[in-house]
Amino acid sequence: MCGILNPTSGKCIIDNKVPYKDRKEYVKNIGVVFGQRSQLWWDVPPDDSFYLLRDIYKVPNKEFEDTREMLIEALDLGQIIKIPTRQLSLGQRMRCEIAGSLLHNPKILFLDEPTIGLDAVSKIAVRKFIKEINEKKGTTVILTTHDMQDIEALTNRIILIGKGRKLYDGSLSDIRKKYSPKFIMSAQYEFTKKKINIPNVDVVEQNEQRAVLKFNSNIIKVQEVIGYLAKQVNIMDIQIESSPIEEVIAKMYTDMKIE
Amino acid sequence: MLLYLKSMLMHIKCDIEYKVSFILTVIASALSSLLAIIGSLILLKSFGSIDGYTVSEILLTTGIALFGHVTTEMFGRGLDHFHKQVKNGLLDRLLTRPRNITLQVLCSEFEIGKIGRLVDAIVILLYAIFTVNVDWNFYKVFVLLLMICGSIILFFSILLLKASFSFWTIEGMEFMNIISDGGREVSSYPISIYEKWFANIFTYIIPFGCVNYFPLLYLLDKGNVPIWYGLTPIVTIIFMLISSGVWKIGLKQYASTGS
Repeated sequence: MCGILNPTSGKCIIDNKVPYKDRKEYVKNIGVVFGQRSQLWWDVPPDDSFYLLRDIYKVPNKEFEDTREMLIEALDLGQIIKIPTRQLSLGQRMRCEIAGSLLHNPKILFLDEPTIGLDAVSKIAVRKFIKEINEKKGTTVILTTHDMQDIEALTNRIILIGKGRKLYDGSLSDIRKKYSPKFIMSAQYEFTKKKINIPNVDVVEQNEQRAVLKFNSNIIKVQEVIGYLAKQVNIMDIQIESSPIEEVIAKMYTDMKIE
Repeated sequence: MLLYLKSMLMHIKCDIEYKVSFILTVIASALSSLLAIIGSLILLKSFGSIDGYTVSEILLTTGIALFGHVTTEMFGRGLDHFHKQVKNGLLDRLLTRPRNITLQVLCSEFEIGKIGRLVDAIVILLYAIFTVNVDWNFYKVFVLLLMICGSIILFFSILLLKASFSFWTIEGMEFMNIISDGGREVSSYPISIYEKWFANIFTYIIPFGCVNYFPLLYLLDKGNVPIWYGLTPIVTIIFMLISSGVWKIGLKQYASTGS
Protein backbone atom coordinates (compact mmCIF):
# COMPACT_ATOMS: atom_id res chain seq x y z
CA MET A 1 0.00 0.00 0.00
CA CYS A 2 3.01 2.31 0.25
CA GLY A 3 3.89 1.70 -3.37
CA ILE A 4 6.95 -0.39 -2.64
CA LEU A 5 5.72 -3.82 -3.55
CA ASN A 6 3.81 -5.17 -6.49
CA PRO A 7 0.95 -7.50 -5.60
CA THR A 8 1.28 -11.17 -6.48
CA SER A 9 -2.31 -11.06 -7.66
CA GLY A 10 -5.28 -8.76 -7.50
CA LYS A 11 -5.48 -4.99 -7.62
CA CYS A 12 -4.99 -2.20 -5.15
CA ILE A 13 -6.47 1.23 -5.69
CA ILE A 14 -6.05 3.97 -3.13
CA ASP A 15 -7.25 7.51 -3.62
CA ASN A 16 -7.95 6.65 -7.28
CA LYS A 17 -4.33 5.76 -7.86
CA VAL A 18 -2.52 2.47 -8.20
CA PRO A 19 0.35 2.82 -5.71
CA TYR A 20 2.89 0.62 -7.48
CA LYS A 21 2.20 2.15 -10.89
CA ASP A 22 1.96 5.91 -10.24
CA ARG A 23 4.48 5.76 -7.42
CA LYS A 24 5.63 9.37 -7.58
CA GLU A 25 2.12 10.79 -7.85
CA TYR A 26 0.78 8.52 -5.17
CA VAL A 27 3.40 8.92 -2.47
CA LYS A 28 2.95 12.70 -2.49
CA ASN A 29 -0.19 12.11 -0.51
CA ILE A 30 1.01 9.59 2.00
CA GLY A 31 3.23 9.74 5.04
CA VAL A 32 5.09 6.66 6.22
CA VAL A 33 6.72 5.91 9.55
CA PHE A 34 8.69 2.69 9.64
CA GLY A 35 9.40 1.71 13.23
CA GLN A 36 13.00 0.77 12.63
CA ARG A 37 13.98 2.88 9.63
CA SER A 38 14.33 6.45 10.65
CA GLN A 39 13.86 9.34 8.29
CA LEU A 40 15.60 11.73 10.64
CA TRP A 41 19.26 12.49 10.23
CA TRP A 42 21.13 10.99 13.09
CA ASP A 43 23.68 13.70 13.81
CA VAL A 44 21.64 16.87 13.38
CA PRO A 45 18.54 18.16 15.19
CA PRO A 46 15.15 16.97 13.87
CA ASP A 47 14.33 20.50 12.81
CA ASP A 48 17.07 20.37 10.16
CA SER A 49 15.63 17.10 8.89
CA PHE A 50 12.22 18.75 8.69
CA TYR A 51 13.57 21.45 6.40
CA LEU A 52 15.19 18.89 4.14
CA LEU A 53 11.91 16.95 4.02
CA ARG A 54 10.22 20.17 2.96
CA ASP A 55 12.55 20.26 -0.04
CA ILE A 56 12.06 16.59 -0.82
CA TYR A 57 8.28 16.96 -0.87
CA LYS A 58 8.42 20.46 -2.37
CA VAL A 59 6.06 21.90 0.25
CA PRO A 60 5.35 25.64 -0.23
CA ASN A 61 7.03 27.71 2.49
CA LYS A 62 3.94 29.24 4.06
CA GLU A 63 2.12 25.93 4.24
CA PHE A 64 5.19 24.23 5.63
CA GLU A 65 5.65 26.75 8.43
CA ASP A 66 2.00 26.42 9.45
CA THR A 67 2.11 22.63 9.53
CA ARG A 68 5.41 22.68 11.36
CA GLU A 69 4.07 25.02 14.05
CA MET A 70 0.95 22.92 14.40
CA LEU A 71 2.93 19.68 14.75
CA ILE A 72 5.41 21.15 17.22
CA GLU A 73 2.52 22.21 19.41
CA ALA A 74 0.44 19.06 19.05
CA LEU A 75 3.31 16.66 19.67
CA ASP A 76 5.00 18.90 22.22
CA LEU A 77 8.29 19.08 20.33
CA GLY A 78 9.32 22.61 21.32
CA GLN A 79 11.97 21.39 23.75
CA ILE A 80 13.52 18.65 21.67
CA ILE A 81 13.49 19.91 18.12
CA LYS A 82 16.89 21.60 18.38
CA ILE A 83 18.68 18.65 20.02
CA PRO A 84 20.62 16.28 17.73
CA THR A 85 18.51 13.23 16.98
CA ARG A 86 21.08 10.81 18.38
CA GLN A 87 20.58 12.30 21.86
CA LEU A 88 16.80 11.87 21.92
CA SER A 89 14.97 9.08 23.70
CA LEU A 90 12.98 6.55 21.72
CA GLY A 91 9.69 8.22 22.58
CA GLN A 92 10.94 11.66 21.67
CA ARG A 93 12.30 10.32 18.43
CA MET A 94 9.04 8.62 17.54
CA ARG A 95 7.18 11.87 18.07
CA CYS A 96 9.62 13.60 15.75
CA GLU A 97 9.28 10.77 13.21
CA ILE A 98 5.53 11.18 13.16
CA ALA A 99 5.88 14.94 12.78
CA GLY A 100 8.34 14.37 9.94
CA SER A 101 5.94 12.15 8.06
CA LEU A 102 3.13 14.72 8.30
CA LEU A 103 4.99 17.81 7.13
CA HIS A 104 3.58 17.56 3.61
CA ASN A 105 0.01 17.15 4.89
CA PRO A 106 -0.60 13.66 3.56
CA LYS A 107 -4.12 12.30 3.20
CA ILE A 108 -3.04 8.91 4.47
CA LEU A 109 -0.57 8.15 7.22
CA PHE A 110 1.00 4.71 7.52
CA LEU A 111 2.43 3.82 10.90
CA ASP A 112 4.39 0.64 11.40
CA GLU A 113 4.34 -0.20 15.12
CA PRO A 114 4.33 3.41 16.30
CA THR A 115 4.06 2.54 19.99
CA ILE A 116 6.54 -0.32 20.15
CA GLY A 117 8.96 0.08 23.02
CA LEU A 118 7.66 3.48 24.06
CA ASP A 119 7.32 4.72 27.61
CA ALA A 120 3.81 5.21 28.97
CA VAL A 121 3.76 9.00 28.50
CA SER A 122 4.89 8.87 24.89
CA LYS A 123 2.55 5.99 24.13
CA ILE A 124 -0.46 7.91 25.34
CA ALA A 125 0.73 11.09 23.63
CA VAL A 126 1.11 9.23 20.33
CA ARG A 127 -2.36 7.67 20.61
CA LYS A 128 -3.95 10.96 21.49
CA PHE A 129 -2.26 12.65 18.59
CA ILE A 130 -3.33 9.98 16.09
CA LYS A 131 -6.93 10.45 17.19
CA GLU A 132 -6.58 14.19 16.96
CA ILE A 133 -5.27 14.42 13.39
CA ASN A 134 -7.88 11.95 12.31
CA GLU A 135 -10.66 14.06 13.77
CA LYS A 136 -9.32 17.52 12.92
CA LYS A 137 -7.67 17.01 9.57
CA GLY A 138 -9.49 13.92 8.40
CA THR A 139 -6.21 12.09 7.87
CA THR A 140 -6.68 8.39 7.35
CA VAL A 141 -4.33 6.50 9.62
CA ILE A 142 -3.30 2.95 8.84
CA LEU A 143 -1.22 1.33 11.51
CA THR A 144 0.15 -2.03 12.43
CA THR A 145 0.57 -2.88 16.06
CA HIS A 146 0.89 -5.74 18.46
CA ASP A 147 -0.43 -3.62 21.24
CA MET A 148 -4.15 -4.37 21.55
CA GLN A 149 -4.58 -1.33 23.74
CA ASP A 150 -3.67 0.75 20.70
CA ILE A 151 -6.58 -0.80 18.89
CA GLU A 152 -8.89 -0.29 21.80
CA ALA A 153 -7.90 3.36 22.09
CA LEU A 154 -8.07 4.19 18.41
CA THR A 155 -10.67 2.25 16.49
CA ASN A 156 -14.41 1.98 16.37
CA ARG A 157 -14.82 -0.49 13.59
CA ILE A 158 -12.82 -3.65 13.32
CA ILE A 159 -12.28 -5.74 10.24
CA LEU A 160 -10.54 -8.94 11.12
CA ILE A 161 -8.60 -10.71 8.41
CA GLY A 162 -7.19 -14.20 8.64
CA LYS A 163 -5.68 -16.37 5.94
CA GLY A 164 -6.77 -13.95 3.25
CA ARG A 165 -10.44 -14.01 4.22
CA LYS A 166 -12.54 -11.43 5.96
CA LEU A 167 -13.60 -12.94 9.26
CA TYR A 168 -15.37 -10.15 10.96
CA ASP A 169 -16.59 -6.61 10.35
CA GLY A 170 -18.12 -4.65 13.17
CA SER A 171 -17.50 -2.67 16.31
CA LEU A 172 -15.22 -3.66 19.14
CA SER A 173 -18.05 -3.85 21.68
CA ASP A 174 -19.95 -6.18 19.35
CA ILE A 175 -16.98 -8.52 19.25
CA ARG A 176 -16.95 -8.39 23.01
CA LYS A 177 -20.61 -9.29 23.23
CA LYS A 178 -20.24 -12.14 20.84
CA TYR A 179 -16.98 -13.71 21.87
CA SER A 180 -16.40 -12.60 25.38
CA PRO A 181 -19.58 -11.72 27.18
CA LYS A 182 -17.97 -12.52 30.52
CA PHE A 183 -17.61 -9.71 33.00
CA ILE A 184 -15.84 -9.69 36.33
CA MET A 185 -17.11 -7.33 38.96
CA SER A 186 -15.36 -6.66 42.23
CA ALA A 187 -17.32 -4.79 44.84
CA GLN A 188 -16.46 -3.33 48.21
CA TYR A 189 -19.20 -2.70 50.72
CA GLU A 190 -19.86 -1.92 54.37
CA PHE A 191 -19.25 -4.69 56.83
CA THR A 192 -21.85 -7.45 56.57
CA LYS A 193 -22.12 -11.18 57.27
CA LYS A 194 -24.87 -11.66 54.73
CA LYS A 195 -24.22 -14.00 51.81
CA ILE A 196 -24.67 -12.40 48.40
CA ASN A 197 -27.06 -14.24 46.17
CA ILE A 198 -27.94 -13.02 42.67
CA PRO A 199 -29.54 -15.22 40.01
CA ASN A 200 -27.27 -16.15 37.09
CA VAL A 201 -24.19 -14.68 38.79
CA ASP A 202 -21.26 -16.70 40.12
CA VAL A 203 -19.81 -15.49 43.38
CA VAL A 204 -16.14 -16.26 42.90
CA GLU A 205 -15.07 -15.15 46.34
CA GLN A 206 -16.61 -13.26 49.24
CA ASN A 207 -15.65 -12.01 52.67
CA GLU A 208 -17.18 -9.41 55.02
CA GLN A 209 -16.14 -6.40 52.98
CA ARG A 210 -15.39 -7.54 49.47
CA ALA A 211 -16.77 -9.85 46.79
CA VAL A 212 -15.82 -10.89 43.29
CA LEU A 213 -18.67 -11.75 40.92
CA LYS A 214 -18.61 -13.27 37.49
CA PHE A 215 -21.45 -13.12 35.00
CA ASN A 216 -22.38 -13.30 31.34
CA SER A 217 -23.79 -10.05 29.98
CA ASN A 218 -25.90 -11.90 27.39
CA ILE A 219 -27.89 -13.44 30.26
CA ILE A 220 -27.93 -10.72 32.83
CA LYS A 221 -27.19 -7.02 32.20
CA VAL A 222 -24.57 -5.09 34.16
CA GLN A 223 -27.09 -2.68 35.69
CA GLU A 224 -29.29 -5.54 36.84
CA VAL A 225 -26.35 -7.07 38.69
CA ILE A 226 -25.62 -3.74 40.33
CA GLY A 227 -29.31 -3.37 41.20
CA TYR A 228 -29.44 -6.75 42.94
CA LEU A 229 -26.20 -6.07 44.71
CA ALA A 230 -27.33 -2.67 45.99
CA LYS A 231 -30.40 -4.24 47.58
CA GLN A 232 -28.32 -6.77 49.49
CA VAL A 233 -25.33 -4.68 50.65
CA ASN A 234 -24.27 -1.03 50.98
CA ILE A 235 -21.87 -0.63 48.07
CA MET A 236 -18.82 1.60 48.57
CA ASP A 237 -16.86 0.92 45.41
CA ILE A 238 -17.30 -1.12 42.24
CA GLN A 239 -14.89 -2.14 39.48
CA ILE A 240 -16.00 -3.89 36.33
CA GLU A 241 -13.56 -5.58 34.01
CA SER A 242 -14.15 -7.26 30.72
CA SER A 243 -11.63 -9.79 29.50
CA PRO A 244 -8.61 -8.19 27.83
CA ILE A 245 -8.93 -7.57 24.12
CA GLU A 246 -5.94 -9.84 23.38
CA GLU A 247 -7.87 -12.77 24.74
CA VAL A 248 -10.94 -11.81 22.75
CA ILE A 249 -9.07 -11.69 19.48
CA ALA A 250 -7.16 -14.88 20.23
CA LYS A 251 -10.45 -16.60 21.03
CA MET A 252 -11.95 -15.41 17.77
CA TYR A 253 -9.06 -16.86 15.82
CA THR A 254 -9.31 -20.21 17.55
CA ASP A 255 -13.08 -20.23 17.10
CA MET A 256 -12.64 -19.71 13.40
CA LYS A 257 -9.94 -22.35 13.27
CA ILE A 258 -7.24 -20.07 12.08
CA GLU A 259 -3.88 -20.25 13.68
CA MET B 1 19.80 19.79 -8.21
CA LEU B 2 18.86 22.16 -5.40
CA LEU B 3 17.88 19.16 -3.35
CA TYR B 4 21.26 17.61 -3.99
CA LEU B 5 23.07 20.74 -2.84
CA LYS B 6 20.99 20.90 0.31
CA SER B 7 21.62 17.24 1.07
CA MET B 8 25.33 17.86 0.58
CA LEU B 9 25.25 20.71 3.08
CA MET B 10 23.46 18.43 5.51
CA HIS B 11 26.12 15.75 5.14
CA ILE B 12 28.84 18.30 5.73
CA LYS B 13 26.99 19.51 8.79
CA CYS B 14 26.79 15.94 10.10
CA ASP B 15 30.46 15.31 9.37
CA ILE B 16 31.73 18.37 11.19
CA GLU B 17 29.73 17.37 14.24
CA TYR B 18 32.76 15.20 14.91
CA LYS B 19 35.51 17.73 14.28
CA VAL B 20 38.65 15.77 15.09
CA SER B 21 37.52 12.74 13.17
CA PHE B 22 36.65 14.95 10.22
CA ILE B 23 40.06 16.64 10.09
CA LEU B 24 41.86 13.32 10.44
CA THR B 25 39.82 11.78 7.62
CA VAL B 26 40.69 14.64 5.28
CA ILE B 27 44.40 14.40 6.11
CA ALA B 28 44.43 10.62 5.87
CA SER B 29 42.71 10.57 2.52
CA ALA B 30 45.10 13.18 1.15
CA LEU B 31 48.12 11.27 2.42
CA SER B 32 47.02 7.84 1.22
CA SER B 33 46.91 8.67 -2.46
CA LEU B 34 49.86 11.05 -2.21
CA LEU B 35 52.06 8.34 -0.73
CA ALA B 36 51.10 5.87 -3.42
CA ILE B 37 51.98 8.37 -6.11
CA ILE B 38 55.24 9.38 -4.47
CA GLY B 39 56.10 5.70 -4.40
CA SER B 40 55.61 5.28 -8.12
CA LEU B 41 57.42 8.58 -8.77
CA ILE B 42 60.51 7.27 -7.02
CA LEU B 43 60.41 4.19 -9.21
CA LEU B 44 59.97 6.33 -12.30
CA LYS B 45 62.90 8.54 -11.36
CA SER B 46 65.21 5.56 -11.26
CA PHE B 47 63.89 4.13 -14.54
CA GLY B 48 63.76 7.53 -16.25
CA SER B 49 60.73 6.55 -18.27
CA ILE B 50 58.34 3.66 -18.79
CA ASP B 51 57.83 2.40 -22.32
CA GLY B 52 58.94 5.78 -23.64
CA TYR B 53 56.66 7.88 -21.47
CA THR B 54 58.13 10.66 -19.34
CA VAL B 55 57.19 11.37 -15.75
CA SER B 56 54.90 14.27 -16.68
CA GLU B 57 53.11 12.20 -19.28
CA ILE B 58 52.48 9.41 -16.81
CA LEU B 59 51.33 11.91 -14.20
CA LEU B 60 48.83 13.26 -16.71
CA THR B 61 47.15 9.86 -17.00
CA THR B 62 47.44 9.31 -13.26
CA GLY B 63 45.85 12.68 -12.57
CA ILE B 64 42.96 12.05 -14.93
CA ALA B 65 42.28 8.60 -13.49
CA LEU B 66 42.52 9.79 -9.91
CA PHE B 67 40.35 12.84 -10.56
CA GLY B 68 37.59 10.76 -12.15
CA HIS B 69 37.76 8.16 -9.41
CA VAL B 70 37.76 10.55 -6.49
CA THR B 71 34.94 12.76 -7.75
CA THR B 72 32.66 9.78 -8.24
CA GLU B 73 33.65 8.42 -4.84
CA MET B 74 32.87 11.75 -3.28
CA PHE B 75 29.57 12.47 -4.98
CA GLY B 76 28.44 8.94 -5.72
CA ARG B 77 29.08 7.37 -2.34
CA GLY B 78 25.39 6.53 -2.07
CA LEU B 79 25.71 4.26 -5.11
CA ASP B 80 28.89 2.74 -3.72
CA HIS B 81 27.06 1.82 -0.52
CA PHE B 82 23.80 1.00 -2.23
CA HIS B 83 23.93 -2.69 -1.31
CA LYS B 84 23.83 -1.64 2.34
CA GLN B 85 20.82 0.54 1.68
CA VAL B 86 18.98 -2.37 0.10
CA LYS B 87 19.80 -4.51 3.08
CA ASN B 88 18.87 -2.05 5.82
CA GLY B 89 15.67 -0.92 4.13
CA LEU B 90 16.66 2.61 3.22
CA LEU B 91 15.60 1.90 -0.34
CA ASP B 92 12.06 1.20 0.86
CA ARG B 93 12.11 4.54 2.63
CA LEU B 94 13.24 6.26 -0.58
CA LEU B 95 10.47 4.55 -2.52
CA THR B 96 7.87 6.22 -0.30
CA ARG B 97 8.99 9.66 -1.44
CA PRO B 98 7.82 11.49 -4.54
CA ARG B 99 11.27 11.89 -6.02
CA ASN B 100 13.51 10.18 -8.49
CA ILE B 101 15.20 7.19 -6.88
CA THR B 102 18.59 7.73 -8.49
CA LEU B 103 18.66 11.32 -7.28
CA GLN B 104 17.71 10.25 -3.78
CA VAL B 105 20.37 7.57 -3.67
CA LEU B 106 22.96 10.13 -4.74
CA CYS B 107 21.68 12.51 -2.07
CA SER B 108 21.87 9.87 0.60
CA GLU B 109 25.61 10.04 1.05
CA PHE B 110 28.34 12.53 0.41
CA GLU B 111 31.92 12.16 1.51
CA ILE B 112 33.43 15.54 2.19
CA GLY B 113 36.37 13.69 3.72
CA LYS B 114 37.53 12.76 0.21
CA ILE B 115 38.37 16.40 -0.37
CA GLY B 116 41.96 15.61 0.59
CA ARG B 117 42.33 13.23 -2.34
CA LEU B 118 40.50 15.61 -4.63
CA VAL B 119 43.13 18.23 -3.89
CA ASP B 120 45.84 15.64 -4.62
CA ALA B 121 44.25 14.86 -7.96
CA ILE B 122 43.98 18.52 -8.93
CA VAL B 123 47.59 19.25 -7.94
CA ILE B 124 48.90 16.28 -9.92
CA LEU B 125 46.79 17.19 -12.91
CA LEU B 126 47.90 20.82 -12.89
CA TYR B 127 51.54 19.87 -12.46
CA ALA B 128 51.32 17.45 -15.38
CA ILE B 129 49.53 19.90 -17.64
CA PHE B 130 52.15 22.57 -17.14
CA THR B 131 55.21 20.35 -17.40
CA VAL B 132 54.18 17.96 -20.14
CA ASN B 133 55.62 18.55 -23.58
CA VAL B 134 52.46 19.43 -25.51
CA ASP B 135 51.77 22.44 -27.77
CA TRP B 136 48.41 23.33 -26.22
CA ASN B 137 45.92 24.66 -28.73
CA PHE B 138 42.16 25.04 -28.58
CA TYR B 139 41.44 21.51 -29.81
CA LYS B 140 43.98 19.91 -27.50
CA VAL B 141 42.53 21.66 -24.47
CA PHE B 142 39.15 20.37 -25.59
CA VAL B 143 40.54 16.84 -25.81
CA LEU B 144 41.97 17.17 -22.31
CA LEU B 145 38.59 18.26 -20.92
CA LEU B 146 36.98 15.39 -22.79
CA MET B 147 39.42 12.97 -21.17
CA ILE B 148 38.58 14.29 -17.71
CA CYS B 149 34.83 14.11 -18.36
CA GLY B 150 35.22 10.63 -19.85
CA SER B 151 37.06 9.50 -16.76
CA ILE B 152 34.30 10.77 -14.49
CA ILE B 153 31.58 9.21 -16.64
CA LEU B 154 33.38 5.89 -16.75
CA PHE B 155 33.97 5.61 -13.00
CA PHE B 156 30.43 6.75 -12.35
CA SER B 157 29.05 4.08 -14.70
CA ILE B 158 31.08 1.39 -12.96
CA LEU B 159 29.65 2.56 -9.65
CA LEU B 160 26.15 2.50 -11.09
CA LEU B 161 26.72 -1.01 -12.41
CA LYS B 162 27.97 -2.10 -9.01
CA ALA B 163 24.90 -0.60 -7.36
CA SER B 164 22.63 -2.33 -9.89
CA PHE B 165 23.96 -5.73 -8.93
CA SER B 166 22.63 -5.13 -5.41
CA PHE B 167 19.14 -5.69 -6.79
CA TRP B 168 20.00 -9.30 -7.49
CA THR B 169 22.59 -10.11 -4.89
CA ILE B 170 24.11 -8.24 -2.02
CA GLU B 171 27.13 -10.45 -1.83
CA GLY B 172 30.34 -10.34 -3.79
CA MET B 173 30.38 -6.59 -4.03
CA GLU B 174 34.15 -6.63 -3.64
CA PHE B 175 34.37 -7.96 -7.17
CA MET B 176 33.14 -4.65 -8.53
CA ASN B 177 35.74 -2.83 -6.45
CA ILE B 178 38.36 -4.69 -8.45
CA ILE B 179 37.03 -2.96 -11.52
CA SER B 180 36.77 0.52 -10.02
CA ASP B 181 39.83 0.58 -7.76
CA GLY B 182 41.75 -1.72 -10.06
CA GLY B 183 40.65 0.36 -13.03
CA ARG B 184 42.07 3.42 -11.40
CA GLU B 185 45.41 1.72 -10.92
CA VAL B 186 45.48 0.29 -14.41
CA SER B 187 44.52 3.52 -16.09
CA SER B 188 47.05 5.47 -14.08
CA TYR B 189 49.54 4.40 -16.75
CA PRO B 190 49.29 4.32 -20.53
CA ILE B 191 47.82 0.89 -21.22
CA SER B 192 50.41 0.08 -23.88
CA ILE B 193 52.78 -0.92 -21.08
CA TYR B 194 50.60 -3.95 -20.30
CA GLU B 195 50.27 -7.30 -22.00
CA LYS B 196 48.06 -7.27 -25.06
CA TRP B 197 45.17 -9.35 -23.69
CA PHE B 198 45.08 -7.28 -20.51
CA ALA B 199 45.11 -4.02 -22.44
CA ASN B 200 42.30 -5.35 -24.64
CA ILE B 201 40.01 -5.93 -21.65
CA PHE B 202 40.54 -2.37 -20.54
CA THR B 203 39.94 -1.03 -24.00
CA TYR B 204 37.02 -2.95 -25.41
CA ILE B 205 35.12 -4.18 -22.35
CA ILE B 206 35.76 -1.41 -19.87
CA PRO B 207 36.91 1.44 -22.05
CA PHE B 208 39.63 2.96 -19.89
CA GLY B 209 41.91 2.97 -22.90
CA CYS B 210 39.54 5.31 -24.69
CA VAL B 211 39.78 7.76 -21.82
CA ASN B 212 43.46 7.70 -21.08
CA TYR B 213 45.41 6.09 -23.88
CA PHE B 214 44.18 6.94 -27.37
CA PRO B 215 43.58 10.62 -26.66
CA LEU B 216 46.94 10.73 -24.92
CA LEU B 217 48.63 9.40 -28.07
CA TYR B 218 47.03 12.25 -29.96
CA LEU B 219 48.00 14.88 -27.38
CA LEU B 220 51.61 13.72 -27.36
CA ASP B 221 51.78 13.24 -31.15
CA LYS B 222 52.98 9.67 -30.72
CA GLY B 223 52.92 7.37 -33.72
CA ASN B 224 51.09 9.86 -35.97
CA VAL B 225 47.61 8.92 -34.82
CA PRO B 226 44.61 10.44 -36.64
CA ILE B 227 42.90 13.47 -35.14
CA TRP B 228 39.75 11.55 -34.12
CA TYR B 229 41.75 9.62 -31.55
CA GLY B 230 41.30 12.69 -29.39
CA LEU B 231 37.54 12.18 -29.38
CA THR B 232 37.52 8.56 -28.16
CA PRO B 233 36.43 9.45 -24.56
CA ILE B 234 32.95 9.85 -26.07
CA VAL B 235 32.76 6.05 -26.07
CA THR B 236 32.21 6.17 -22.30
CA ILE B 237 28.73 7.50 -22.96
CA ILE B 238 27.81 4.12 -24.48
CA PHE B 239 29.13 2.42 -21.36
CA MET B 240 27.03 4.75 -19.23
CA LEU B 241 23.89 4.04 -21.27
CA ILE B 242 24.40 0.32 -20.74
CA SER B 243 24.93 0.61 -17.00
CA SER B 244 22.00 2.96 -16.50
CA GLY B 245 19.89 0.48 -18.49
CA VAL B 246 20.87 -2.29 -16.10
CA TRP B 247 20.13 0.04 -13.19
CA LYS B 248 16.63 0.73 -14.46
CA ILE B 249 15.88 -2.93 -15.04
CA GLY B 250 17.08 -3.68 -11.51
CA LEU B 251 14.92 -1.00 -10.01
CA LYS B 252 11.88 -2.33 -11.83
CA GLN B 253 12.38 -5.89 -10.77
CA TYR B 254 13.05 -4.88 -7.18
CA ALA B 255 9.64 -3.25 -7.05
CA SER B 256 7.99 -6.41 -8.29
CA THR B 257 9.57 -8.77 -5.77
CA GLY B 258 10.34 -6.45 -2.90
CA SER B 259 12.66 -8.93 -1.36
